[in-house]
Amino acid sequence: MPKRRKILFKLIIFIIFILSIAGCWNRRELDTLAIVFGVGIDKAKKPGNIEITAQVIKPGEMKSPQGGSGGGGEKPYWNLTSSGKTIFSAVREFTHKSNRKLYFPHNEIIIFSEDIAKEGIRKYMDFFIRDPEIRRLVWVLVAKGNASEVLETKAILEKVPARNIAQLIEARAATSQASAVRLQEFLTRLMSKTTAPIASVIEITREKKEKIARLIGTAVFKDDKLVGYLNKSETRGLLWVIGEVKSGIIVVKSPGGNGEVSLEIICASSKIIPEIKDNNIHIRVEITEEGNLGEQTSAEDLTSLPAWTVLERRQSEAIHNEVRRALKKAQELNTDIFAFGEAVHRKYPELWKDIENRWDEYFPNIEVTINVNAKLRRSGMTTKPPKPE
Amino acid sequence: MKLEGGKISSSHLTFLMIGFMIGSSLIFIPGQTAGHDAWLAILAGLAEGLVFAVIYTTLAMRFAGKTLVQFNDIVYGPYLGKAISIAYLWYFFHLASLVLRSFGDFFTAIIFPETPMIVFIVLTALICATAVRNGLEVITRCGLILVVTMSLAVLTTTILLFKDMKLTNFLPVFDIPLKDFIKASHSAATFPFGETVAFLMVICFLENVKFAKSSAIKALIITGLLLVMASVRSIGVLGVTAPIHTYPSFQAVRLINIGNILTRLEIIVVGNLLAMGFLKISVLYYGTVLGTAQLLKLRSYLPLVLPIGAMLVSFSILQFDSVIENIFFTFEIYPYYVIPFQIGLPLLSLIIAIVRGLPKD
Amino acid sequence: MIALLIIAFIGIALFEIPDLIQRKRWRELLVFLVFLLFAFIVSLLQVLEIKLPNPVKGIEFLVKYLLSVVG
Repeated sequence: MPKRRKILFKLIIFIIFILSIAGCWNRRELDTLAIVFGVGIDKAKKPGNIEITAQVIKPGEMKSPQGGSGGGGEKPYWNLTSSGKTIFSAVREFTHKSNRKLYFPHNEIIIFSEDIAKEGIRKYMDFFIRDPEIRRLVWVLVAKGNASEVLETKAILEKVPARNIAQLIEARAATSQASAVRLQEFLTRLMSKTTAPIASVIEITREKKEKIARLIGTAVFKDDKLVGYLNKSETRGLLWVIGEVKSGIIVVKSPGGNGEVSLEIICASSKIIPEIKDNNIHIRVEITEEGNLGEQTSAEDLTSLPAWTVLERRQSEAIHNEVRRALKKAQELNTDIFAFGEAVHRKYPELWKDIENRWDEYFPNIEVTINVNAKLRRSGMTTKPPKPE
Repeated sequence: MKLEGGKISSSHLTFLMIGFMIGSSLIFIPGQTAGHDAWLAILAGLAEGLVFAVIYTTLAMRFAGKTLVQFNDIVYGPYLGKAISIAYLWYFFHLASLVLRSFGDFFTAIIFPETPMIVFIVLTALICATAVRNGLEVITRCGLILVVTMSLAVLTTTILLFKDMKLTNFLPVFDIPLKDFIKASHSAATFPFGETVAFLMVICFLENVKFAKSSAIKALIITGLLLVMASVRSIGVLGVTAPIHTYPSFQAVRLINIGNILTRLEIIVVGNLLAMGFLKISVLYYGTVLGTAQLLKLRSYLPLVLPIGAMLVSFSILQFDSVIENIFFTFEIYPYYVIPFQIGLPLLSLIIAIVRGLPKD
Repeated sequence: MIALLIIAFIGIALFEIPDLIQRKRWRELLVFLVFLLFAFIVSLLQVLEIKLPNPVKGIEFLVKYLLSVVG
């Protein structure tokens, strides 16, 4: 082939690739996007329809100091609502109000209102897992009340309420008294035949006329319908069993009687062991925990060995009680939030085939043994309380 | 007259085979129908695939220096041999267009939803055409670089997902009926291990044909391990939700989140797919073009590259109307469709060759 | 779209033919033209949205038939 034509050919190929690499068909620049940080789903006034609230950030306002006179006091976010029969149709409805197309990859939370959750949310989950823009790492929450109101709560340290809520979820590890459930985890539970889905609960409290979002407890689903809530100690009971307790404070009575002692949870793990005893399914839960002495209000010396042992025992009892309470609530609701069913499935696959579809009859009456092995490791910067000898 | 002047070394062959087999199987994980036992199905499929590979390499070593098209004439005679060669050329052509189509489907489904699929298919075909025109040596050298990068990427993403994996997702082991398991493992054997039958067009250019068997077996085992790793990654992370995903690997890697900093790494999977798919299409494309040239006794295969490329593009668009048809074909039809090409004919050729003492010098 | 298609195929033809004529490779030229013509007709029909017989459907039918015979 003559050299000249070869060069020409290479040039054409070059041009084709350069043109096609730089631009995609549907390229979207930053200034044509409305970046969504949070989504709330409520019932619409019209029966059968849903109302979606999307929290879109305003990049211009994000720069200016929050609430400062220079920024003009504009909120750095915009809550858009629209309604429709399905989520996707409602999402596209937003384009009637917003000149920019909603962009979901940076979304951090999905909030379902209590009403929607009670009716069942499987039909609304499909969009969130099918759409390639939405990531599985978003948090799933249930709002006591309206989801749209939660997205309007005041965020003091953050600029955007949705971001604030996402960070509340990450901060909940300090108490382990609220669940944190990512979309992937929620989906896994939703697709299990026996394990009940759970979600974080967000509620609105009023402080000095400001609406503040508060994250506490756990929402419990039966199949895909919200059936009840766990309070904060029941939630930690649940988290002990599924091994999600990260940290937290256990308050026990001082061995001497007067005053309280706060014990800080340092690490915890758990094991669920199903057993067959006399033709009955029996679950043994083994919890291992390590804690530190964090505070005492009593005047006695707790660093003596006998007092230390008593403290360790009380710590075990406190954990034991929390788990008992969670278990009682779960059995009342008949929701297998602990994934006991899956544990049985793994250990007794043959037996499981018989009872899989009747797990609802087994679960409320299942016997559970809880073994807690709680240790206290350290006493902090001091040993004895500050008082004259 | 020699159609291909290049020679490849045995280690290059190993790398090329790995890239070829990984090909599109990083997105459609083989043995997916076995649920959380997919990794077992891949191992069983690997065992079956090794048998195939031994058959192919024995054939290739027996007819050293001859491609599939050339030795079909010797084994089956000029007429039947030509018919069988045409069938094989169809198979290579179809497989290449299948991979090309999976490419297009993946890109339009996940990354560029509004771009017409034809754009990706034409661009990919163009790159592959360039590679094929440049000959086998160029493809193999690309293979070396791309496969090493790909392996590192699979390894890295797997390590980053360690903390999200639940070993309990794999229990109970072997939780499916034997019949379904055999179906899944056979499907893993035909896709991707058995597809190495296309290398009967390539092995003859090996510098030292003695090493064909060992390098093929090495390639199969490494690929098997990589695929097991990818499937362990997907199952461990996705658990019960794995079966509902169109592209489980992609979804699993999307879940990487190291301290909110190292996230959104899914593009690595796309890069891998692009690189490995390129190798797979190129080898099949090369096989088709070279085989056609040999069949028609041409002095050069170069004039065939672009017309066959154009056919590849149009056929990859034509064959399916939707991704659902593609998935149905891949998992339900393909494992049976390929039986004559991957097992039947090679085994028959080998038996005939041994019985009749072919090739006669 | 049709214009684009025609340009692409003319491009391919211009890219290969002069070289083949120069080297007097008539057999290659013939095969090239036959293949190119076939590809052109198939893609033209596709662009015109005329339904072409799909070999994959045939394969699917055959495999299903054979499977039902085997059991």
